[in-house]
Amino acid sequence: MIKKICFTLTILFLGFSAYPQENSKDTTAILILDKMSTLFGELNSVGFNTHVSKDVAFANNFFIKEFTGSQVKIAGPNKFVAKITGEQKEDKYSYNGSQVAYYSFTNNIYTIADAPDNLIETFDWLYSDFGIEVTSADVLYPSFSKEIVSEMDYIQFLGQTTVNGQRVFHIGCSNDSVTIQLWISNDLYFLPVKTLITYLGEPYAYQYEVDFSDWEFNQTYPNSIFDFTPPPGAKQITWLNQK
Amino acid sequence: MKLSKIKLLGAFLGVLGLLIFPEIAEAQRMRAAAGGRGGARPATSRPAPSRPATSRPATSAKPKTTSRPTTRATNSSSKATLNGGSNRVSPKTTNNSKVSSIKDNKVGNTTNNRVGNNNINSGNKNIGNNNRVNIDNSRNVNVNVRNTNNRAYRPPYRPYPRPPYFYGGFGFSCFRPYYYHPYTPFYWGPVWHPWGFFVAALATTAIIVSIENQQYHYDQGVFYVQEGDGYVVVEAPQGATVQVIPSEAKEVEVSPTVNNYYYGNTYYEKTDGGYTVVPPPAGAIVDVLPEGGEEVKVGDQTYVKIGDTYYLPVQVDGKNMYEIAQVEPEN
Repeated sequence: MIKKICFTLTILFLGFSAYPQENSKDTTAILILDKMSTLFGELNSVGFNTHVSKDVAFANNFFIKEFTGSQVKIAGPNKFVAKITGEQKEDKYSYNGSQVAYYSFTNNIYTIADAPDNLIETFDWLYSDFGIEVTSADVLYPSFSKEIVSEMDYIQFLGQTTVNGQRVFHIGCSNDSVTIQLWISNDLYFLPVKTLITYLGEPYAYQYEVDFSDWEFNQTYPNSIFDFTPPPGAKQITWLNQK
Repeated sequence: MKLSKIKLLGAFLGVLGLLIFPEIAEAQRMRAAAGGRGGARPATSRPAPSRPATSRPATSAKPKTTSRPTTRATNSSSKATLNGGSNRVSPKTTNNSKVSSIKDNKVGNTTNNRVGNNNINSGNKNIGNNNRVNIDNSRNVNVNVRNTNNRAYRPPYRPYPRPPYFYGGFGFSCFRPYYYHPYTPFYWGPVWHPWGFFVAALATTAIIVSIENQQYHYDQGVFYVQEGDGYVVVEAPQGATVQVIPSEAKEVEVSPTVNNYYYGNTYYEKTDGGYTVVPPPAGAIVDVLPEGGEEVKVGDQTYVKIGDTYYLPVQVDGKNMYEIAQVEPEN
């Protein structure tokens, strides 16, 4: 009888311990996220390349992968330029502190919008007004780790592994609607090497994956790379605001 | 013994020399590295220059230094850059913001959004010789050229194969994949005019069409309303029926059993009484669009918006076309 009770208790204990705890937030994971966030808070400028793959709904029950690559230079407090290449597109977004310009190299069309005067507000404004997500903008927010902690129910340090030959920390976060995995370099800088977001939407989940490379810190970028001059023959189109 | 002392002294002086002139040592090492196995090559292996000294003309072809601009920027400029800043040839332009709000437009399959009085200047368009109408391009037209009761589109007969692209609370749906091509307005000939165009007189072939207490004048695929001492081209009123449409009208497939006719940005459906103006059929494709549209960037795609109707650039059998988009409010 005692044996049976012990066995039952053991099974119950194992069951509870194997299931991810509600609102479980691992301090090691949070420390690593804080280290990464702190680094970005100290930088005057940053440059990097990304390779993005995302699921796109091709039909109601048929997702396809789309791949894009981008080259990004960001200079505080109010400049960025990003060149994005993908299937049938080669685009550039540039922000000079007062305006954001979009230019399509493929189609020779551009559009201009008056923007807020700093990077963080401009990233927010681009997303809220035009649906443009600047890759990695999330990790550049000063409150990144704080927001992750408040928005996610489960944050776990999943151990160390290797991505593209680089030793990385693996962190997983989740809530009801999304899971986020981050691979952060295990070196002096604690930089994001890869992020994978899985949106648990209906009827199917879909993913957004970003690989980062070629990081540059505190380089002095010339102002002219953030300015946009319409090339000859380029046509200005209207940018439709969501609001 | 003496010999070994001399060798030792030589080695000491050599090391001392390297310590005193480290730059030279580095330069030698660098140069040797650049030359690969350069150290093994005998110094005398390279022949003396065979080109006679007199082969170079006395009067050098090199441009005289005076040909260079004397106002060349020097590095003494206050700008702490490599060359003090370049002298641009192309002027720096001031870019003007061009943004419109999706909420300002009538989208969705609904009506009742009066655009208001549009002050439209027809501009200087070359429309060819036409003796029947007296066209005044220079005046401003103060009339509502948009039809308030028109719908932006009518829904397709079949469901879309994929979920809409949501933007600003609206779902944009199309059957075909996006394929950008530049918007080039099309003119249907000298008797066709875009919205807002003013003519002083109408042709004798014009007929009067009344619908919803508004009187229109119709002539060869164009609807006019009277304005002051002339007539202004307006959007065709949906529901109006005319007996004849221009022979250049093209058939547009709406469904396997229904075709519409498309001419001058107006869609007609054949009825017992003639041809009735109908909303643009979402999902159908047309090959040309008229003047008056604007290209708008919606997320990652660029649509052409004419009135309240959005057209997606597509490619069908290798030909550039436009698909009429369905733009429904998000539930």
